[in-house]
Amino acid sequence: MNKDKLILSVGTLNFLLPFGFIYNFIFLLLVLTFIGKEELEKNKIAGLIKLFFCVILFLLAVKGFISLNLLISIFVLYFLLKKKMYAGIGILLIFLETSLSQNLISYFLNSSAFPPIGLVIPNILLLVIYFLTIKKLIPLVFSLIILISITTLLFNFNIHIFYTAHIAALITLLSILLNIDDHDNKAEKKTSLLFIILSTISLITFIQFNVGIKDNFHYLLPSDDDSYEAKYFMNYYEALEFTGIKFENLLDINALADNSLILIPWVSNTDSNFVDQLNLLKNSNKKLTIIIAGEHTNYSGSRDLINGFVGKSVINDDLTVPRNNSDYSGFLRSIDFMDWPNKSVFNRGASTAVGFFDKTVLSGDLWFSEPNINEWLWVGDYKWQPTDKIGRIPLATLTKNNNLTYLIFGDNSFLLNTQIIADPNALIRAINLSSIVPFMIHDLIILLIIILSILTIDFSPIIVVTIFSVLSFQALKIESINVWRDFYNNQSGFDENNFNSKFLDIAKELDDYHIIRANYLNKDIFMKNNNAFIFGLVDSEFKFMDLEIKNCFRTGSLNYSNIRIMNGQFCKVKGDYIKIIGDDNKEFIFLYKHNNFNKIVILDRNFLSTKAPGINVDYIKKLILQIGLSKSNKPS
Amino acid sequence: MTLVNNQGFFFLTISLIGVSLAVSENNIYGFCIFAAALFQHTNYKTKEIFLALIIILVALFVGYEFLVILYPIFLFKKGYQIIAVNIAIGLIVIKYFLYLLALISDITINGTNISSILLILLPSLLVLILYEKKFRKEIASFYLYIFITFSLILFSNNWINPNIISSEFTRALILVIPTLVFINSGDIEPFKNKVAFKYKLILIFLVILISFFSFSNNKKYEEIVFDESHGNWASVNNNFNEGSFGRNYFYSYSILREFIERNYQTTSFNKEKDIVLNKNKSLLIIKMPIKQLGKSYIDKVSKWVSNGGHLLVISDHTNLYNSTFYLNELLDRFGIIISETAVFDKKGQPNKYTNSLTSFLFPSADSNIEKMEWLTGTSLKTFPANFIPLGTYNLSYSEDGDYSNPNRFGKFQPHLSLPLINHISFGKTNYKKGKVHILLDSTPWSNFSISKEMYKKYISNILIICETKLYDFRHYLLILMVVYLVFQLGFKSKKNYSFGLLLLLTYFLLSYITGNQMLQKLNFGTDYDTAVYSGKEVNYKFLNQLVPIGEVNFTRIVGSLNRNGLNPLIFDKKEKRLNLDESDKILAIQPTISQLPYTYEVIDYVKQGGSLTLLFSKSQSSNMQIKEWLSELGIYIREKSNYGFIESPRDEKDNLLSRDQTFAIKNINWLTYSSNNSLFKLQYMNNIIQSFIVRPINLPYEGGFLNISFSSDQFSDSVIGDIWEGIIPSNIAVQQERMLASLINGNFNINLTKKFISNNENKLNQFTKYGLFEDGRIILNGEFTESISDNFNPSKNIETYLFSLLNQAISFVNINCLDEPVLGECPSNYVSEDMLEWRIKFRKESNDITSIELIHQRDSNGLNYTYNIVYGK
Repeated sequence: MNKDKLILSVGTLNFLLPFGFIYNFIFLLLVLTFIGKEELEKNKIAGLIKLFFCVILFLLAVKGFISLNLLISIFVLYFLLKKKMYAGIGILLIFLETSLSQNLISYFLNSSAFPPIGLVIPNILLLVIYFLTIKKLIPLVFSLIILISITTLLFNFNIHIFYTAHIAALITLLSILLNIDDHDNKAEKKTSLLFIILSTISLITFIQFNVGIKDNFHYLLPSDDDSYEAKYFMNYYEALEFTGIKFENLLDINALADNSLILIPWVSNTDSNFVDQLNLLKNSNKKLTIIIAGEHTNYSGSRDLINGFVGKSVINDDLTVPRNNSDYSGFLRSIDFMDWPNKSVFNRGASTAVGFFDKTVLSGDLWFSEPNINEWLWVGDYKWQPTDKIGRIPLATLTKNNNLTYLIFGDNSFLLNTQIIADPNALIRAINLSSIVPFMIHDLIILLIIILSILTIDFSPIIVVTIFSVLSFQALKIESINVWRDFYNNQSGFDENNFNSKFLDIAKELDDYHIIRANYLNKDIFMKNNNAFIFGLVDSEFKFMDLEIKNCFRTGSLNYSNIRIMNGQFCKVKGDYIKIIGDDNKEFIFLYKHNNFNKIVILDRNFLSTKAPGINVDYIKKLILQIGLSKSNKPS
Repeated sequence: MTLVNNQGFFFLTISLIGVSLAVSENNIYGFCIFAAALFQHTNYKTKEIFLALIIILVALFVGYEFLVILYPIFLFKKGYQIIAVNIAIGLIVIKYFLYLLALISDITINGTNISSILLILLPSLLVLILYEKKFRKEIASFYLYIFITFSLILFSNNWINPNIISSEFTRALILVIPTLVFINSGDIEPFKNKVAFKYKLILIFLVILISFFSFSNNKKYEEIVFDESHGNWASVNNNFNEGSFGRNYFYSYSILREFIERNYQTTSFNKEKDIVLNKNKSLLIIKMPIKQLGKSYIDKVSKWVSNGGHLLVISDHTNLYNSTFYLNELLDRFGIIISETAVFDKKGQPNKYTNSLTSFLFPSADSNIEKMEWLTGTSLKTFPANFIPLGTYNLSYSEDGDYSNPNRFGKFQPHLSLPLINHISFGKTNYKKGKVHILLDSTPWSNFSISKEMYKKYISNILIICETKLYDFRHYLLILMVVYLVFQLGFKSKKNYSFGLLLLLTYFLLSYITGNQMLQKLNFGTDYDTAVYSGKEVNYKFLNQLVPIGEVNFTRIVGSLNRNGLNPLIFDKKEKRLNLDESDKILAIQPTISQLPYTYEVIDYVKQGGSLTLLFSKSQSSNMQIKEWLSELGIYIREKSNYGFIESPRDEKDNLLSRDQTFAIKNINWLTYSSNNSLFKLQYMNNIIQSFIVRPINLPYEGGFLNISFSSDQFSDSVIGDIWEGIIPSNIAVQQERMLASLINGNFNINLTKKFISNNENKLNQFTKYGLFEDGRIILNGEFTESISDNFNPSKNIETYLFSLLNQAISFVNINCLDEPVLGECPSNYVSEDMLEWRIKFRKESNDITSIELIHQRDSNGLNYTYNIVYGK
């Protein structure tokens, strides 16, 4: 196989194979390598500059700032254009990344009652478009028969779905490679024109939604504090502060301004007041955007509530199960210009339904959906059966009704208070998506690249992506999520050493105090102009201004002076500080003032971890009460 | 032909990458790449294909390490003499000096540990050996790509996870992609002229010199001194006997001391001031101190070392009991700092690996050990420039301790921020005239695990290595090889490879002696007296959680043979065929038919006084081959069913309150009997084991014993409890331990425990108050009413149940416990009528029992919870 066909195959497999495995990364690396080699062999200086851009894009892609799928398609097209080979298929592969194409896949998957066909809908779409553009009907029919028959056979033999998906992808690729012709520029130009028209349609359909960055942010919760789920939305205001955006509790719908965003994270509680508020919202004539999240298998009537609220069927009565039944979403296909945060706790919810003019925002490859068997308390066995729907399952949908734009997620796990505190990035991304701009950038890039490809402007794809990535990165980044960055210690929301659950217990008392966590103390922590509780250890010794901490001794799992030292340290401290807890020579908790800001240092990484006892929380609360006292009044 | 020649450079590079992966990390994909490249490099000539085939097959069966010899031979044949020598040297030094990555193992960039990534990319350095001016562009592109890959991986942690980084396939792929893309053509000319090897005399002289050193320089230690002055963790002085139970005995080093005493004189001191270190030819062992080392003590020891003393320090994971802190205060004097970490493998399990027949080519303290298993040791943070690695854990993570957990273990979860490198497990540094050795795992040498072949060998090897200087020579030779290689790369000589060859041959000679000849086998009689063979599903794990589901753990029973007068050795290899010449006492646990010796050998063995104990599982009773094997001995199996009562849960909680009265069952056992015409005579039997003696039976009986059980599970940790059990053992554990040891020794007067079940004849009602605690939380308390009567069904009436338990306990105390030396405790546990085992504590005031506490330990005694029931007046 020559290099051109190899790269073409990489591009094709990138579209067909389940997204989110290491081979996607290797595909990107491989295409980058070949582009690099190609550029270096031709013109050294220009080649190096292009390579530099490619590496930057690569890094942006692997960090999630550019959709990795999109970038691979662009790199593949770039390479094929350079080699003047198979550019038509390269353009087709780019087109398949548009929101229109993704929506078609979801639409057909929802309509398909036969799981083997559901799995290979992307393959069918690719084959149909490809063979229609080259006008070869008999090979198309033949390829489809082979593809569907073998997939059905593999389903019948209960072959692991991962292998089935890969075999189906390889059959599709083979069908294309066997029917590939030497390039016909004329035909390719005609095809490209068709793709320009379709991509334009894909782009302009976004105009129906409320486009633009929102002015006001609200959240709406049921008022029932006694239900089981209430604890997940306790102190929600404080939890939302971790997004860096000021959310207000929505009390009066009539007072809402146009262009507001309303977050409705909890719909499994149908108290009458809440339902009334939803009805008011639904019937308001304001231009509003709503982020709403459902639950699996119509849990407590959540599906019915959302479908009634949106005015059409947008949430299915099923249970979505991520690959390996993971708690994390992993990598999802998206029509966003950026990748969805793969470490978001977005998992076992319901799949979403799409209308022809709606948009599928997120879809999970090799996720599957289990039907509701309508038995009380049964929430699925999380095991895939050949009768379960599987494939590119839609997980979030963008739709509208009157003046309301709805961004609907099938699962609300990432919106629970503890998860927002642990990692608010998924919610922040959802807020960004609610402006619709990221989707439009995504489709606009595709449109521009197809146009520029036809105009054969060299270097264009890379320039386009780079410009847009920088612009969108600047435009869409949330100003400050320092509260979270200070708090984040590379721990998931489920980590027993995370402070997320204990934080909720002290959130209201904290006032303007920040919680800062660090494995080891560093000067930046002390330099910040804020009052803070600093949790961390000292790596051999630490100096800041007149403060000197050294001769440390680690200890833990120890009751000491009305607290429990979890994973802590006693250190000798010098400087102008106030001892709070310690023995004669060494300190465990002390107060240090810098620029009139209080820094309460607690030499313990896990002092407020989930497994820490309640006495530690009580102690912090007591400490907060006494912080305002003068130096001589030391907390006991 | 031209095409093949033009690709010589490519084939050499790809085979070099492959062989380096195979040798340095045992990478199967690396080996496959090497094999494919080697075949391509043969130019399809029959002779060369044949040679390549031999190389591949030999390496496959004896070990990839052998490729450091075989591959250069192939290249020599092809005419690449200089490259061959340099590649061999390169492979050796790359593998050896990987330990240096530990020095940067703290550095992370963007949450990814640098040392882990460098370990993957380091083999690519070998490509420099093939450098020629004409390949400048290819090699530059190759390294540019390697550098970019390195950077990209560091910034791609969304996509890279620990599974990917540790996958052999990915590790190979990362190096193969740039080779395929950038180095795909170019030829390296073979060297036609022969070069005379100029150093024959020097080599012969070296052979003599090294042989002389290896056989004469071993000055045996006159004394091995144990420091017992810093706490009683792993004491060598604990008397591990049939009455000593609890982790303080099991997790001690008394058997280690006995093992060492077979070859060395040992002493110990209990106070710092009592330390006597007069003899230069002595080894001081300091192990896991749990008390701070005094400054004067540190001064004294470091001074002694600087004057020529040898020190061996044993440490454990995560600064347990602050032992690492205390040790570091001493080791800091020698430039060594131990980390507060625990080391585990890429799956989050304790490290284990298999050595090949050719592991001696890279000698270490485990070169002669086929399978080595570490039990979560720690790693080194810093070490001096002259540090010499003598053993590693192989590819492993090192994770910081979490002090909020009582055992200070972290999560044991592989993570990109953790270093995934070959952490050192054993090493040494020369300090002035003396030597400091450090061993970074303490658990394997404890009483419960020292019986394993691998650990006895390791300890034996450590002492040999401590005594020799040959490992120092090898270390300096390797440094010389690095210098030579650098010189070669800087001033490449096309003709002269003799000096390199001299270095190489010297290295192989030293390796053979240090990695093979010097290390000794274990001997029957001195190193063990009972050989233990194991079937496929038999385990000896120190934690029951590590035992695969469906398999069985026998750590406790075999470990307990030590306290019952035996000295067992567990062979590492499972399903090893029983060798009756190996020992006069043999224990085989769940042996398969292929392990069993011929029946005539068994008869001879027992006639000559041998003791053979076969513990089969219940399911093996249906194995036709085993039945036939037994019938050849005149022994047959018969079913025996017994009525029994067991405690039985009513629901999944399996707690005290959710059970009915005892549940009647019939227990089916398979017992063995001898036929009338058998040479064996049944001498002792009970429901789980039977013992036979061999005819003719003359008095005094001089023959041996054949013990057979088809209830091996009754000796497993699941039945008798694990090694971490407290000082009052469960009754069944004591019974089984003593019974097995007695039968192996041919002693049928088995000292069983006292009666199990009490009667409840004495109905007392002077206790009026009770409290029931579940896992330390009180769940029920109250007072007995006057009209209360016995009722043994807790789920129906807990109060009457507690009353019945009390009555039984008082009866048991009155009969069994009042004469005991430790007043207030019973010597054995009592089993209540509902078949639950209880430890009893009581208070007695002037012949009157005033309070009683019943304690039920979770798991070991049955229920899933620990219960304390307190009765008072």
